[in-house]
Order: sequence, then structure tokens, then C-alpha cells
Amino acid sequence: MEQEVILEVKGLKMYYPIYSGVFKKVTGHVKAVDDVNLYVKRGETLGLVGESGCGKSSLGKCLVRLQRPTGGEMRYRLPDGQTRDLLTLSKQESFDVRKHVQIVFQDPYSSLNPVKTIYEAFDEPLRKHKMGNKAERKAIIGQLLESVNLRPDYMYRYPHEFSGGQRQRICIARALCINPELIVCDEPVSALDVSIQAQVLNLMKDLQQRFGLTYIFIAHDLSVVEYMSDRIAVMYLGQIVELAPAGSMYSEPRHPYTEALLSAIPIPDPDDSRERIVLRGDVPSPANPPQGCRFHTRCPKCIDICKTVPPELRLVAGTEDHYTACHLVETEEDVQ
Amino acid sequence: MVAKTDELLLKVDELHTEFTVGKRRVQAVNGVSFEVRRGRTLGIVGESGCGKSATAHSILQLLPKHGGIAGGSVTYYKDGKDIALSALPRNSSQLRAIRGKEISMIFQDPMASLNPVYTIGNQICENVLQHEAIGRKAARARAADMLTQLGIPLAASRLDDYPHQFSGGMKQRAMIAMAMICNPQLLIADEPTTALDVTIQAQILELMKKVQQDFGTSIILITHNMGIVSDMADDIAVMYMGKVVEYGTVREVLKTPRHPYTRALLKSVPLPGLNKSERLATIPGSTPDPSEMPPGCPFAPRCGLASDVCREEPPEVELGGHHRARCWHTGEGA
Repeated sequence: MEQEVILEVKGLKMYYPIYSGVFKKVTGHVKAVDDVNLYVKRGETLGLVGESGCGKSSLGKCLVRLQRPTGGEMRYRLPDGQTRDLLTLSKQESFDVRKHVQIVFQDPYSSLNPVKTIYEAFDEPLRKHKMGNKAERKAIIGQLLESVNLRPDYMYRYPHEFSGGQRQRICIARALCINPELIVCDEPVSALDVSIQAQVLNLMKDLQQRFGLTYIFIAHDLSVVEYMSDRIAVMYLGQIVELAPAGSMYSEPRHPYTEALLSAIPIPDPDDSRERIVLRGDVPSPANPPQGCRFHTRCPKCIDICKTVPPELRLVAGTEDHYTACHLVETEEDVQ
Repeated sequence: MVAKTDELLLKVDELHTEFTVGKRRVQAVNGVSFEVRRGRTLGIVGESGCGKSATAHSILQLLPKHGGIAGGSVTYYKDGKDIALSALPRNSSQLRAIRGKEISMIFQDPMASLNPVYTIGNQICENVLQHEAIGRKAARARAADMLTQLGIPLAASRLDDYPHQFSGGMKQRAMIAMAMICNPQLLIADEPTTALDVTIQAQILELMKKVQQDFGTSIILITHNMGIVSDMADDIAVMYMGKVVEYGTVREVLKTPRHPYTRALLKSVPLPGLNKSERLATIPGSTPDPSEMPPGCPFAPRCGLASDVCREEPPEVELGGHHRARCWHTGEGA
């Protein structure tokens, strides 16, 4: 059965204005997300990887409308079958839609209010979305805490009484409290130690199965993303350079940037004989991205056309769902 | 290129480091022993709070006022003489002559370890001017030369830049330049790439390998990433709650881990190509509070192999070669 598309993003742009001078005139834009197209199917996990500053968190924030994107479309399919564009909705409508989309942040220390008990932190979204009376809400919160392997009576504690791993589980439970369908996870495990990281990752997989959740999993750790995701999008300077199922992304990366990223993962095996591709230089500024292919300044395979013509994300020849934006890769269109 | 040798450079023996928190004393380092040999790299791995940074800071006594070495010794071997670093007062001239010249350090966060109000050149030169009788001009030339070797283009003109004008990777290069400019015997790198992106991390690791080959420097590399240790180190010390629980060459520890904690750590990291339906191995619970250490083996409350005997201090079991593990159950569950 073909899975239903839950979210479709078309030409999404998020530009942050740069102000300068005495009158704070807008002198340019940081193009954090520049013309991104993607779709997410119900029940899958879409991984989003890239280096810092590539726009993956901006994209995540746009998807839950914590940021108002500069342009584009974000079509969200509601459980009742209707499709809504999150960008054009009125305040009340977008409030209703956002009930189905939640976010979990990177740092569990700063994303829980230190002066509120866990109960208060959970009760607020429940009340806001008018779910149940007081006793019912308390029961819901107890169940949620149990579902992330914490004792229900922990709801009367304050955030400082918990360890990092426990807090992150609390943040996940809080995201679940209004029964969302799609959860954007913005680096949910990068602030945690390895042994705790594994607990949280396992938990997230369990919850996904139990509640039929759809995840957008943002991270910079490629091995974690591969383990969690069904499909992966690699971002570079605000654009998606490769989009493919996790398996074929890792076995046959097509974009030189993905190749370099994968070869840079350190593997704890003394017999590891992969050749490491070391990219030169730094990521250019997203305020002034290079002409042509944005990766050409660091690409080991750069040819003349890369410097002038920006490549588009196209289907790779001989595959069904492996997309890449590179002039050097033979696409389905080239073959025809 | 300097060959890797067996010559001893630094020996840490039964090191204990304590911090006073309020009225309590917290043992951050609890009897750590290891050796660093000339031209080799020792990787110290462990989770946050296991005492790996406290160990590194104890070597040069770069500890805050409320902390100090409470026992054990750190010995530095120089031209046949041995200097007991741990016996020197922390602000003594002998220790200051060694810091930055013989043994230098790179810290985790290059953004926080560079002074924002001095130029990069100024900060790199400071180290040479302190330790060597050379003029400002010569020091600048050395700094520029060092930055060029570390792959910073137009280094001479960038000496007058301030840290905010450098990117993260460049700042870490400047930190390495600062640490390497006096050509030290030992470089202690405390999570040198944790704050950096993977592609920049790969650059910095390559660079550290090159520096080691060119200058024959020994390195103590502190990290929580098993992959980085595997790539960089010759020997590994795995730490848990202030103790070295397993020690050996990279091959011994990663291929035949004998301590349950090492095994669990290795299994809990997802590797590329891992089956999706497979669950990650987890370590139940979390690290205990260092001020309320369980008796006996500190890992026992989280260990799958724990038995009654684990309530007593585990012995250090020699496993052939340099390989040793601190556990009652080294022979089991492999």
C-alpha cells in the first residue's frame, strides 16, 4: 500500500534580513532555507542532516511554524483528509493545524521551564487545546510519563530533579501530550551521553510504532540519522543536495558532499580501511552563497559548469527514489 | 618523521584528584594510572563526568582553587631525568616552565578559550615570548609559519585578526598553533573536535596526525567518541567514575573488550549499515552521583554481569600485553 503523504513542502524559503547602518536598513539576507522541496509520508522517519549553519534547524522551525517562512508552500494533510497550507492560514486555523505538529528541541536543560513542575508544563498545552477536565488531564499526564518509562508521580517534581536523559524523555512526552501526528525532532540526542542516547533512540522508535508517529529527525550525527530514518535528506547551505532512502544513501551516495560526510564518520574499528575524503575550507556564508553549485568551492570533483549553473534536485538514473543535485551524476532525464 | 618508540614520557600513577563542593569532598579522579610513550597517542574515553578532563587538568595542575591532587603521582621524563609534576606547587616557576613549552593543551571549545580582545597573533606569540629568548619580530614570523603549516591561507596577514574573524575550524587551528609553537613533547587535547562539524573534525584530526608525524609529539586525546580514538590513538584508557576500567592498545580494547562497560559503550553507538529493526544496546540507569559512590565496582548497579562479589573493589586483571581491566568478570559474557 502506498503511504499517504502527510506533509508536502514546495519552494520553501526562510530568509533572515541583515540590518546595518545607522537607520538599520536591510542590506541583505541570510538565506537559511532556500527553495527546499520535500515530502513526508505518514508513519515514516525523514532524516535531515548537514553541518551547522546549513539551515536544518531553520527548516525544522518553519515546519512547525515557529518561524514564518519568507515564501513557499507547506501543505499539511489533516487526519480528516483535508489539505491545508500552513503558510496562508489565519491565526485560529493555524492553531488548530499545529495541534498535529510538535517539536522536540536539542537541549533538554533549556527547553523545560525551571520554575514549573512537570505537571504544570504538561497541563498548559492540554488546557490550551481544551482536552479534558482536571482529573482527566492528570490521568493523561500520568500515562504519558509512564509511556516514556518514568513514574507517574514524577509529575510533581521540578526539572532540576532529573538527569539529562530523563529530561529529554520528559520533553518527548510533552510533545506527545496533544496527540500529534508529526514530530520534528531537532537534534534530540546530541546533548546526551552515548549510553543515554541509545535509551532515548530506542524509546523514540517504540513510541513511533505505538502511536503511529511520523518523525522529521534532524541531526548532524550521520550514524544516528541512518539508524533512525527511512529516508534521508542531506542539506548544504540552505538547499537539499541529496534525498534518498537510508540504505541507498549509505551504500551508494551520489553527491560528492554526501560522500565526504559519510567518509568522515569515525568508526570504532581498527581495521577500518575506508579512504577518508577530507574537504578543504569551511562552509561559505549563507548570506553570500557561491554562484552555481553551492558546494563547488569545496568539491574535489568540481568542473567548469559547476561554477556557473546551479544543479537541480533530480532523480538519479536507474533508481526509483534517489534524488541528487549534482551535474556529475547521470539523471533519469539524461538517459531519456 | 619520528618513529613511535617505547620510551616513557609521562607516567601517571594512582592519581587521585578531589574537589570540595560545599562541605563535601568529591573524588573526580580515583586512582588513575597510565603511561604515555614518546611519539604515541593515548586516547582517554568515557562519558561526561567520568573524570577524563579532571585527569588531564591534573597533569599540569590546571585545577580550580577548590580542587587539587589528593594522592598519587605524575612523573614527566625529560632527558633521562624524572620530574615529579604532582609534587610541584601549582604556581611554581618549574611548573610554569613546563606548561606550554614541554606539555601543552588544546581545549574543547575554541570559541571560549581564545581571548576575544587580543589578536590571534598576539595570543600565539605570547607563548614563545614567555618561554624563549627571542624578539617580537622573530616570534611573529614563527607564528605565521606555524599557521601556514596548519593550512591557514595568507597566515602572515591574518595574525592581526581577532578571534571573531576566524571560523570555528580556524580557531581550533589557531589553538593548535598556540599549543605547538614551542614544539612540546606532549600535547593534551581535551575533546578537540567536539564543538566542530564532521567535515571540519576530519580536517583537524588529519592535522593532528600530521603534526605528530612532523614533530614526534606524543598526544593524550580525550574524547567520548570511540570512532575518533580508533582512528587516532595507539593506546586506549576507558574511564568510568574516576577510574580506568580498561586499558590496552586500540586493537586489544576495541576488538576484544573485556570490561562490561567498554562492551556496552561500543554496542550503544549505531554504526552505518546496522539493521533498523535491531534495538540499540543500552546501559540501564545513569551514572551515579560522584559524591555518593556505590561501594565496590562503580559500574555494578548498571552492569548485566554484576553479582555479589562486585560489592567489593574489583581487582585489576592483567590480560596479556598492556591490556588490563578492572572487573571481577573479565572472563565472562564475551
